[in-house]
Amino acid sequence: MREIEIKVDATYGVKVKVGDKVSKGQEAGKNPFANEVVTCPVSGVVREIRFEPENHEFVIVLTN
Amino acid sequence: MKIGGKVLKSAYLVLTILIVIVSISCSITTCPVSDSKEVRNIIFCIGDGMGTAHVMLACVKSRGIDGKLNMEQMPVTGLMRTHSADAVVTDSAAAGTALATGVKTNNGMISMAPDGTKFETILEAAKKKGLATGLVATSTISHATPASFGSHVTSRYMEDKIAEQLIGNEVTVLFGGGRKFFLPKTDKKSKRSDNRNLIEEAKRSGYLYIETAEQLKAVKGGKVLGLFQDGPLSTEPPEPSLAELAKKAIEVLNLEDKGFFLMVEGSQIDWEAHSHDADGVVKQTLEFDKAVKAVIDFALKDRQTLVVVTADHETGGLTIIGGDFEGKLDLGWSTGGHSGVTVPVYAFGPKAEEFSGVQDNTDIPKKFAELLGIKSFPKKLD
Repeated sequence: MREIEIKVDATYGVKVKVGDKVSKGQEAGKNPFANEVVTCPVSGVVREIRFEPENHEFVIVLTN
Repeated sequence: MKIGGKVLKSAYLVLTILIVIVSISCSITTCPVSDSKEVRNIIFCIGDGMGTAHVMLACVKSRGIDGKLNMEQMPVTGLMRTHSADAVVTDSAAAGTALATGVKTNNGMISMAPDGTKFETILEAAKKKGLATGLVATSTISHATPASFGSHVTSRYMEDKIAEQLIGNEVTVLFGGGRKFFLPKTDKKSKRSDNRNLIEEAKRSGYLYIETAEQLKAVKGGKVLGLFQDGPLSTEPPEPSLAELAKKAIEVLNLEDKGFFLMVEGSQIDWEAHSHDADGVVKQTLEFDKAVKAVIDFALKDRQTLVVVTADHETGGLTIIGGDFEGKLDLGWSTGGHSGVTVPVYAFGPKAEEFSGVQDNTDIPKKFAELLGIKSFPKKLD
């Protein structure tokens, strides 16, 4: 089992929640520039979501 | 006639005494909105992410449901729309740009239009007019909101470039965190990609550099760069509080001849709201409100200072959905991000009435410019 971190801008929140089973390509959030969607690079389960204030971003930890 | 004259004299005396008593006992709620025609100084306080529910939550928890925070006691209130050029929900960069330049931009961009055209900020325009200027924040001083008043970059994440521009712009007072963006990459704490030491550069250009509360107390005047943490402020002692920083900034800026423009940001209300931490929201909103009180105390004495308090956007989609009168509140959070609702505006001092009603975020600096006699604003930079 490996862990993958996805970073999304905090402005738009996150589109997944802890415990969700996500598919590769599923929207996880957006990047700082409003029109660019950040997708899950792999399928897996959302293990953790944490807010990192300095970069104003959420870090989504996936396990697969 | 003689008796009439005596009566008139007595009436005049009583009236004079009454005026003196009213002037002495003036509080924020009893003071006239505009007892001076001239705006000499502007202090612009921004609670990052602070919606009306954040204010009410902090008030209920600290003063009860019938109480009022300091900002809520300001005599003029309004609402402000916050959308950016490319989204209904703004980020702090686009919102800061609107509040600083009077121009909407895309999320992520700092004080330039979506096509990259740089626009003068109200701080830069005030400086050109001879006013002293200041930025105070509990984030890194190069974070999106303070950055919007003193720099122009395509991305809010270019904090090393923003730090260079803040120093290059010779903002009179810079108080906040973010030392790591001022240190050369040879320093292990640095987040710069080059070897420029902006602290040394600032000193060479006449800045006094400080990083502790004791050093802050000793500041007498001149240009001051205060970086109290490598990253954002801890908002805990022994670090100076936002109120202490705002008070010292005012003290320094008020020594200058032609007035001043100061922006004070409570940066971390947003951060606590992203984490849905209600206690954290209360703490940071009250810290911000203490700074607002320090600002109001000065403005009450000075009487030529306009104070405007607002937020750049709301964070968390916070609502109060129940509770009791003893201070227990049931809260709802509709998003982990920002929301697109209007935010409160509170104003006090000469021309405060200009800030009532529903306004766009771009209206605020345009009004500041008009009140300071700055022509041609918004203005493209060459």
